Amino acid sequence: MTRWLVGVLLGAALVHLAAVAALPRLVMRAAMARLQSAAVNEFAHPPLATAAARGIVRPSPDLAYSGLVFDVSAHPLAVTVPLTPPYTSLSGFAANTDNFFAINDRTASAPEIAVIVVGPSTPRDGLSGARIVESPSDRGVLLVRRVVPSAAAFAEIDAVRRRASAVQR
Amino acid sequence: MRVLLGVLAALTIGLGSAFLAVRGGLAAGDVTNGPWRTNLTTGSADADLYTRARVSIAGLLALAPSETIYFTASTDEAGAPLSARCDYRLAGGELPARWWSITAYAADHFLIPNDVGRYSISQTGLERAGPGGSWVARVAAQPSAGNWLPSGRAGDAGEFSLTLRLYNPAASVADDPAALTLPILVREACR
Repeated sequence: MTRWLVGVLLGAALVHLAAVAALPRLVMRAAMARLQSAAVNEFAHPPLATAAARGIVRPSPDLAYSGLVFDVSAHPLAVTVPLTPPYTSLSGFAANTDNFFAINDRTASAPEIAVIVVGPSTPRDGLSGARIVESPSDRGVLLVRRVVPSAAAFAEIDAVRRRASAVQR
Repeated sequence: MRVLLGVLAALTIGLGSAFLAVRGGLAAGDVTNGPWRTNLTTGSADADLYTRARVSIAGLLALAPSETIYFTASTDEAGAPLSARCDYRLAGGELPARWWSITAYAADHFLIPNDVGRYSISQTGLERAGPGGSWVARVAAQPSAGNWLPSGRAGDAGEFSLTLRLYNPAASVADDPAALTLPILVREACR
């Protein structure tokens, strides 16, 4: 009986750890499937979040998001994001949910944010420079956040955000 | 039979305890400040197993603290769960960040349906009460004059939570989030 109990508890501990460890990847995979309304490596520009938005938990209703599911297993991805005041950022999320980089309108050294995203399998021939960001996984999510300070400001911000580009190199 | 029972018991206890661990309670690295709670490892590679799992459920695609710090309150100053049955006074001043907002979320972590399509108050949209930038808002399902953050429609009774986002917070926020002066959240009338 004691051995049986010890076995059950050890088994339970393993199941517990495996479940907690697997959860972020499973949730991220489901989120990427939902985000992928556009093609892989292509930005989508959803409307401002309302109570009807059921894609990603705890969205900010004050942000205009642009999202992209990237796959850099075969090619690097060159991304440029034009800026809008009062706040713009581009951030990357790996398959395990980690936020592996974030650049905002203040830390960007140019009038736009420009990066080249690479992953563990991406061929690096001839790639160099400060603009390279390394993702710990070949697939993941890029997210642009823009503060929309008032409803009236949205139309102009929306026009600018659609000029974001992602090009395979 | 004993082996089968053992496997079932291990699965039940393992998955059940994982669910409870991920659902709530304080996790390693959590910092509280009044009713507000934050975790400075959110989104970063330093996040432990449990923080990552909790973030994937309640804050997927959250930014690392150098970019944004998130404080969430699911209780009032007295520790009672926030409910759409009650009205709350939310009051504060300027916050040490480039831009900030406070958003209300239903228990399912999505925005709360309401009749005016308002889900947040922010640095740019608030009416200020005083010269120092101080402000007072009412969080309630009942419509309210002035700064009103709806917690539902009149008659709603759901529990909800608030998330304060500090975009590009001052270094002092990450240095000592427990010492920061954050908005107070006091329950007033309940129905």
